[in-house]
Amino acid sequence: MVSLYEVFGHWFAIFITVATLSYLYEDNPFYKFVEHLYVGTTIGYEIIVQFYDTVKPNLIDRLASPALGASRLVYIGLLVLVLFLFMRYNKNLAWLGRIPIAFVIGIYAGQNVPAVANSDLIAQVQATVEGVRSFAAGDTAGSQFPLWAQYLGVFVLVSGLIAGLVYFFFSIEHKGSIKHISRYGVWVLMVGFGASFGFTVQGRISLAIGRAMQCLGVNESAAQAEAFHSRVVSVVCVVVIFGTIIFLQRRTKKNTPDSASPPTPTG
Amino acid sequence: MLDFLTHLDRRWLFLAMTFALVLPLLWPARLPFRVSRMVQDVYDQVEHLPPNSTVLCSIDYDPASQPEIEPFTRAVFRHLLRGGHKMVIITLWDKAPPIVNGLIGDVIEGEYVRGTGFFEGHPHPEYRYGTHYAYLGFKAGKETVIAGLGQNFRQIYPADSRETPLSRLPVMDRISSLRDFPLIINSSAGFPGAKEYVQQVVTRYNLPFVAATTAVSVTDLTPYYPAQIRGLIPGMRGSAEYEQLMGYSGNGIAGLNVLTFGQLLVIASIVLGNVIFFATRRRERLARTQGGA
Repeated sequence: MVSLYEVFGHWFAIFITVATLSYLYEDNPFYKFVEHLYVGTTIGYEIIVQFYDTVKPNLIDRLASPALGASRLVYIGLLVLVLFLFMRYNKNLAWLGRIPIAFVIGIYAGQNVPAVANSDLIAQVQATVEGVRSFAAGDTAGSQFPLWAQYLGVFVLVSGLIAGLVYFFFSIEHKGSIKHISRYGVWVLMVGFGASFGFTVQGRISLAIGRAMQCLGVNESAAQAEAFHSRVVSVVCVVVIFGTIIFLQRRTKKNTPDSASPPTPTG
Repeated sequence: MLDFLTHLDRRWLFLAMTFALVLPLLWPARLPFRVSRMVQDVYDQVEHLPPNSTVLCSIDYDPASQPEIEPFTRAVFRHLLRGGHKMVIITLWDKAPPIVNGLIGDVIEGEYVRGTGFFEGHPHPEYRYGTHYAYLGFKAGKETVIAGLGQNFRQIYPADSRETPLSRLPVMDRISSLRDFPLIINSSAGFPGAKEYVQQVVTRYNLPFVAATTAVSVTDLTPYYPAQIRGLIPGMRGSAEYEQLMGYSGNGIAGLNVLTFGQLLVIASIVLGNVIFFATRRRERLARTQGGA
């Protein structure tokens, strides 16, 4: 059983989708409405979630908890640090804001520097060397590619890695053979950026597909299809929104004096 | 013709993309595709779990990434339930709780417990909250939370989303840190997500970890596969492949067919744009040469 709340929610989602996409035609009041609605609801949602999931359990509840005893004073110190962040609005006390920021940067650096060095440097080098070593040892049974493709893969991996590093090595002048190697490194980087671009396009199209699926009611259950009438609602939204935009466009043109006419000579 | 193409209003391209996405949805065409090794590895990790395992599912995406990742998340939930495994669900994204509640309501409580949809005619009323699955809710703190989960799970999550202490949830018995899970599954749309799990805990404790990610993040995460991330679901395509492995056609497969047409239009546009660019340049050169003569 689909509730009335769900039905109106679904219809409103379709309306918002069409109104947002109407910006591709031109800026219009429907898009402006959705834009403001999005910013407002996002900020409202964030404030509530951050208060009830962060500020309340981590600060207010702990300050109010008698079980913590005198250790609650620590949280008063933390509250003072938070208040320091807002001192930037006062010119004379703005320097106090640097203290909590120093804490945040210090904690993040201390936490992330060893973690990133371990996972993105040491483990990556290990994985690269291990991959080449196991291939050299003849361990190719688990691969889904033919042997020549595996040879090519290892060659591209090793040569691309070295060439990419050479491109970023500026202690020697890039001329002669170094120039050619760094040029190859640039090509490897470009292939990497190309792959990123391709995946980004794929991701964006996927998002559009998600909206199209909802507007067309793809994979809805029988009860939902009976209640939502997604395709009819989508067509109505498209007609109403684009019809209004075109009407407003024509009215504006009609009321605007012809800017193309030559200015009237004066004097 | 060249003048027409050079001055073509870009809105025609948007309209063409609309048709490229809408028409295959109205008249679906099932295009063949192969399951990649990365996706097969995720499936195998779940398939080879010891019986009655308790798996951690970290659902870290928002509505914007739902079309890409949710088909996989639903598929892997069904896979875990089909194997009779237990689930502990968390999220590090503040916009995810409504999504997670929807997933639990639809897949666990709706399909598996009541025996509808994927589990049509096979209800499992014995699968209960607290005993077989638990949702611990959203926790703010991003990678600090992940690092903390690696050290002391119960200090970060003393209670579930319903404020029930973890000590009263049988599904959390013998779970004190991330090392106690035989598998961690992360549906990740960005920060914090799979990359932060790898950096903070997976590499440090050598945890069995698989992830589903948006297409945008694939090139960032691929270097971690297979040494650190043991299986990777790349966007909508990966979701479709996982659905194929599970033996049903959901939003992943429906989306992938449409995605192919969208990609073809983008490729055609890029090729056409380059042809127009070089043709225009050639015409300008010729005009200059003739003008100079």
